[in-house]
Amino acid sequence: MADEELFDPDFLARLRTLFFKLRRRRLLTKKGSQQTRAVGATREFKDYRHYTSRDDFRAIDWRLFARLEKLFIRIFEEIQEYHVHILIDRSLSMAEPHPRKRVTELRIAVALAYLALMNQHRVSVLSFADELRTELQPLRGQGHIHSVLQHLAALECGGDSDLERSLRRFRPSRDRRGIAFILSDLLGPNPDDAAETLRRATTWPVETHVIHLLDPRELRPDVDGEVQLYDVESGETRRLSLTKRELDRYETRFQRYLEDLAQSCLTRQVDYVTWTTDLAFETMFLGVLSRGSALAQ
Amino acid sequence: MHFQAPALLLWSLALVPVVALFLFRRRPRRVPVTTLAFFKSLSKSYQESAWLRRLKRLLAFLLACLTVLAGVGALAHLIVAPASGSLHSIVILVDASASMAATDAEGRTRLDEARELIDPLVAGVSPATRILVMSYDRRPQILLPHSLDRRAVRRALESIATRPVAGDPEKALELARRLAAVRAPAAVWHVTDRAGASASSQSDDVTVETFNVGIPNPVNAGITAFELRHLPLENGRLEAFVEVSAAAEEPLDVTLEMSVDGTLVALRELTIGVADEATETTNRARLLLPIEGRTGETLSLAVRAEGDALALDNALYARIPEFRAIRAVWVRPDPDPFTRLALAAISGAGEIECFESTPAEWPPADLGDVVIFDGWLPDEWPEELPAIVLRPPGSRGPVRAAPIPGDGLPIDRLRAIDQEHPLLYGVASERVAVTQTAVLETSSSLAPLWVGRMGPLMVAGERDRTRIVVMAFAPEKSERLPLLASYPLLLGNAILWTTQSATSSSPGSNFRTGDVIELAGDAIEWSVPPEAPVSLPRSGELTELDRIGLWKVGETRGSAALRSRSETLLEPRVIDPDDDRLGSTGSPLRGDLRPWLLWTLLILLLVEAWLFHRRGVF
Repeated sequence: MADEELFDPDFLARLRTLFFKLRRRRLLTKKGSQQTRAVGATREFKDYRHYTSRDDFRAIDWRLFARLEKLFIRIFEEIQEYHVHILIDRSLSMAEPHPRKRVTELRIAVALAYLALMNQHRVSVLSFADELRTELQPLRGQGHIHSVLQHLAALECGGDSDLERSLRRFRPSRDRRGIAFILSDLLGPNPDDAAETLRRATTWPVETHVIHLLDPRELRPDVDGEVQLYDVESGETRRLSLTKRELDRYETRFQRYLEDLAQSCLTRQVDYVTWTTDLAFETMFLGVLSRGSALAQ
Repeated sequence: MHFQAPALLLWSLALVPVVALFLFRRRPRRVPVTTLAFFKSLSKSYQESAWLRRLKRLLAFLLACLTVLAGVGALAHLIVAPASGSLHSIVILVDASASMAATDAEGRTRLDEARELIDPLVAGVSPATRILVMSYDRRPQILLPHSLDRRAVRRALESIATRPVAGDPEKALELARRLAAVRAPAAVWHVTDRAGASASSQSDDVTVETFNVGIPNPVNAGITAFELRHLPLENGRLEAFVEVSAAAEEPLDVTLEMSVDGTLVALRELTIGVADEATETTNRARLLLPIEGRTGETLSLAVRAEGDALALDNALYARIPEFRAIRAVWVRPDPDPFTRLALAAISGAGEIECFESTPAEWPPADLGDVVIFDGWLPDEWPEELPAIVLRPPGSRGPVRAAPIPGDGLPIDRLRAIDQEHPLLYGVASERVAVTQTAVLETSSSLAPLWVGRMGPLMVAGERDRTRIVVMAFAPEKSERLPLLASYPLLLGNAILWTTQSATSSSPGSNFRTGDVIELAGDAIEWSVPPEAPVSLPRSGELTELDRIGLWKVGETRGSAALRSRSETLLEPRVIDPDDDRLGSTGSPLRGDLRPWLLWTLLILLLVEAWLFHRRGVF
């Protein structure tokens, strides 16, 4: 795949004004370059506030007390470093029979990696199909975007989907807290098991965002009549006579599956979004991350 | 089986693409999908195994073939019936005799079944074939001449009704053959309940197909013979000779009731067996029932049996006739004392009046009811006069006798040919010894009753509807005859038997239904006790007695009853398993099969749609 297809300079330039944010305050041991609303122990002065009995008295600004005869303490900027985990589905169902899913998946991954690297966060890129594989060791600094781009462009899809096995092996260490993005179609032999598998995300010390990539033809197949369907991953075949009524039932069944998945993620505070490949990429990207509170400006 | 429009069988070529599609079916489009999970959940029935799919495919192929064949059969107008395409005409001959009114266990008459049989056959006849409809009982009747109008044929068939009259199929078949031969080649479809008529025949141009509609296991009992007669030597007393016949596979219990003016006077419980020559059992019972009644009273007989199929032969009505003495004229050259004694004995009761005459006085002014020629015969035989000839001197008129020279031939031991003959009623033939005076010659009209060593010595019979008895023995020379009671009995029986037609033609005569008699009057009144009489207009001199009951025209009275063994003894339907004719198989798939085929086509389409397309929405 050409790098140009994954790398849109204009779009990425607009990402420079954005940065990641966490939905809730977390204790981060790593200090990075991204300023947050929180106060920290850096040397960068941020503001004053009245002293309270629970504050460290060593933080009192005695000079200001001398001038105003009131106790104020000085607060400083806290600069945090996130660890952004990008988990890419490289099963065959991402490339066939709808290759647009793979392109969209990789473009999202590149954009996320770029955003993270630009904000001096550590970025880990992992892929999964029947097992989890580390594609890139944690990177930091915007200079690594090129290597990310090259690596993702060379990523080949293949193998069966085993989401359960793959996510079981994903164990971010406590010093790699941050945000995890799961880019997948969540389809496999048993799609209904995906909701249960995603429960594992509640045990991770990261905020999890699931981007469910689908092709519009997966929501409603554009076939009818006597067909022989075969699963691109397992090779299993089924002969069916599809009519409009059958397709309506399929669509209803698929929508119920998506609703169940979204409800399951919502109850576990996992951000979930369905992304169909026919939508505008830029609008979808910004909207999805903003809606999930993973992005701030 | 044939097709009315065989050219349309070319539509069967539509099977070619069906077979081709079955053999070279198009493989379904192969479509890759990311997962089959959601498709699998659509319907469990889609997750069928390979053998079930092959079975359904084969079933679909068979249904398609059957659909095409049913359509082609309907288009080509499939007919399952005796081939009529090459026939110019068909004569439908329906038996309408009394036995066709016999009902089966479901209450259907044989005529109903005949119509059900004929209807589809008529529908299957080529439109160019003319159909003639006939029915018959004793006489054949043409209901519809050769016609192409099928509705008229059906109307004619519907108009057929059974009559309580015995049938005569031979005359009707002969007429049907002749009528069919008018438009040959032709066929005669004979529908009857007679098993004996089941054989079909074929001549050069006319084929006779017989369709049997009899009851498979008939049970029936009926009165097949009846006669009222005076008891010999008993003044004014009557007895009824009744024959009850039964048709059944096993001996049948029959109840016979006799009533006079509605009052039960006799009841007989009979068990009538099955005719078997080996055991000499018969399927009939004969009874002599004395009648205590007065002139003009109504005598009724009724037969009852469980499971009786035919009601028309169960009842019989008769009027007790008016008593009148029989007048006998005894013409003799020299009177024989023993004969005189015997005649005086039977005249003493007042039933018979005897008048003596001589050959010189012949012919007397009043010939009476019967004339007794004793040792003499007239040169000119009296026409239409019953006669008893004693000791014929030679041959004259219907009498053929060869005199034995001398005093005759003593016969110690007679041989009675038919001891049950009314003439020999009460006569002890085995005890009689006579002297034969002549050897009688039998003919088609005179049958021997007593036979001696040299030949018949007593013959009796009918000639031109006139009864004649000839006795060729001399009473005065016989050892054991003149003084026995047998001689006056024999003479009395002879007088009664010879005059029977004369007495029975008097008012109160009993006829068989179907008899045609001469009557004068504008109306005939029928009555079946205890119902009120029904008066029907009539014209002409001849009247056919076509009802069961008592009739009256003016002062003339009489009765009519079925009294037919051929109608009472219902014959079981013989079903030949090898016979593939429609009348024998009784298959519902006969005649015009277009409605069947169209219904089959519709059902096949519905089945095919339900099996394979019920989930589809178009």
